[in-house]
Amino acid sequence: MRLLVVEDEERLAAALQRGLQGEGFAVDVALTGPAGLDLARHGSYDAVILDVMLPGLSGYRVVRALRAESNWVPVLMLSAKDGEYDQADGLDVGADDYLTKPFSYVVLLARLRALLRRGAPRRPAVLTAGDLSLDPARRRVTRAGVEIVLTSREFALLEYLMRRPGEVVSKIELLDHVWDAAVDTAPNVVEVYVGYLRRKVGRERLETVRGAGYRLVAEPA
Amino acid sequence: MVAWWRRLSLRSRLTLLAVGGLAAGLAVGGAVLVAALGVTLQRSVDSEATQTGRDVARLVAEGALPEPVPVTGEQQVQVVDGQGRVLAASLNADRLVPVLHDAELAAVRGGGKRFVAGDRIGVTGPVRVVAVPAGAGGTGPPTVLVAKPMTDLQHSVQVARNILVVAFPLLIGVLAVVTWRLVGATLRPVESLRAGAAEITAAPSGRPARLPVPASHDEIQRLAVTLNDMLERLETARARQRAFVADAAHELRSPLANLRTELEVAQRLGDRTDWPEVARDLLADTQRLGRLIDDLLLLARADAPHPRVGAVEPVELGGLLRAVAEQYSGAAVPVSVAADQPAWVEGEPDGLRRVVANLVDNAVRHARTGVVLAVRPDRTELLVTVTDDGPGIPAADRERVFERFTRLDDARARDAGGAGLGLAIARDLVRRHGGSVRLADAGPGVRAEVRLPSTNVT
Repeated sequence: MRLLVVEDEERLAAALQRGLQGEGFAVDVALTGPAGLDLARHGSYDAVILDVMLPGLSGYRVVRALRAESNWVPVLMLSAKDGEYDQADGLDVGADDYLTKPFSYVVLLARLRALLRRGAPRRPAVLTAGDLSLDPARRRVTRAGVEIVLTSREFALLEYLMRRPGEVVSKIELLDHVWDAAVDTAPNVVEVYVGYLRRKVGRERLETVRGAGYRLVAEPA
Repeated sequence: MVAWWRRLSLRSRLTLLAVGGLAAGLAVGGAVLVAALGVTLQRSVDSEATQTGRDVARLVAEGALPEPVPVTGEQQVQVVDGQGRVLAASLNADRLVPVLHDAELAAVRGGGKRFVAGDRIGVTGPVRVVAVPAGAGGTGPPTVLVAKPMTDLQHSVQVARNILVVAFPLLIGVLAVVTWRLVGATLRPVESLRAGAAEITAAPSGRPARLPVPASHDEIQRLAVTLNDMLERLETARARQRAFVADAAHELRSPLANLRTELEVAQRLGDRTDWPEVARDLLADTQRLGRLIDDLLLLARADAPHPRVGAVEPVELGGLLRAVAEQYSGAAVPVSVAADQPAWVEGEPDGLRRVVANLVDNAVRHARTGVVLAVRPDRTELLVTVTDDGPGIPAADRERVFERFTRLDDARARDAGGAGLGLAIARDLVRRHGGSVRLADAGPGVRAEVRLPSTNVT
């Protein structure tokens, strides 16, 4: 397993390198943001340990740049900033985990292992399908750059469909995942909301598959 | 009484004061009015009676007095001779007994006025009697007595008094209500200020707290504006303090994280650890932590209301510069001193050394080939300069670098730079010495200029 440590504290970076090499990882170190981004782009790493406060380019911007290039390498952020919003921002721009300095080295290792287990599937922070984009953190939906205002139920429905692009999703599954388990929601409530959604995002984007359910299409035929 | 008065609301007090003042004024005014009315009516009665008396006296003098004497209204007229006999009388008057007794008659022979009881002429209430001497007669000069009952007059005064007794309390009542309302309306902005202020203390911090400003342009509006200004200043100070604490915590956590990770890694690697190297790293981080804590304490002390100034003594800056330069003999670039004449200031030697050292720290970090320290007199001040030939600082950032935790090190790794406190500390120290410090452009590089008040010790 090959790791990249991007950290401007030279002694911390060196200690991490020593320790992780001792665990059997191959470790590269970058001391600045641009150097880290460059290495992450061109090397093939299994995970990146990334400081937030970096000279040249902040950790947030490094992650965002990587994700924008469809680089899904798992990223663990390290920061001495312990504000709730600092952590939330880090995760929302596309990091996979966040540790506050000073951290326990044992926990760092455990979290790294967990990240490596999960691998690097496509997991964008912002979902897209054709010209349609949905940002769960900001709760914003845009189509060709134009914002579409959705109710929270419509938003949840669209988010679920956008996570399964091109697949047929049954009414029962939608009912299970988008609506609360309780109450007497009749299956035709799904039809009603799909109707609302079609009016807002475009009729042709939500296909009805007779007898099976609905399908979100990225590029309407 | 005083305690009771103080317990009342301002509104009640103002209303009570207004109503009390008004009631007293109206009472005095009413009393004066009634008295004046009485006197005026009395005068008019007297002058009417006197006129009648004179008319009758003229008739007597001319010997043309008709019998009975003609009169108008309620007046009764008697003409009485020197012995008190009634010579003539009006139709409604007694023909035998004078209205005045002998003694009274004697007193008013030459003319006069007095009150007698009404029952003498068969009416109720007092009767005014006016005596007017008439011309010659048989036995002594006769006197004309004109009697007029005062009932009407008394009645008029009574009516006036009754009207006032009913009208004034009504007036006072109306004015009390108006005053209560008016004072309430005037004080409402004060109440909304109070409610606003109560909300501020209760509100969670973070929300910008402002008092409602009334639309008027009066004292209360000015008070609200002034208080809001104060709140804003407090909020700014609090925000600055919070930012400082957050920055300080961040700066303290970094070396601590290094220490912990270095130790944990070393422990985990066990025999494979290069312990002397670990010790070296730990020491470096411990020293950094120590320096940071010293700096933070220094700044915290500088923020105290009355920063304690250490022992002040005359300091020769040329020597001080040379001493600092010597400490930097091992720096990456040479540090030289240009100071030919002695330059004395009053100050703390340690503090001034710290100022120069912090500026040199910064200069050495950026200089390409060398750093030059100099001191020279400039009018009444001494100008100390620390000049480097590095890449320089954009004009827009030259003030910002003096703020705490400011680092313009976009392209610099942390270990090379400090925590961003050096220049802030230098400025605090210089200010404490009554001087100023700023950064100027030096062709290539930056020239830090410290101005200190000079003392002419030679």
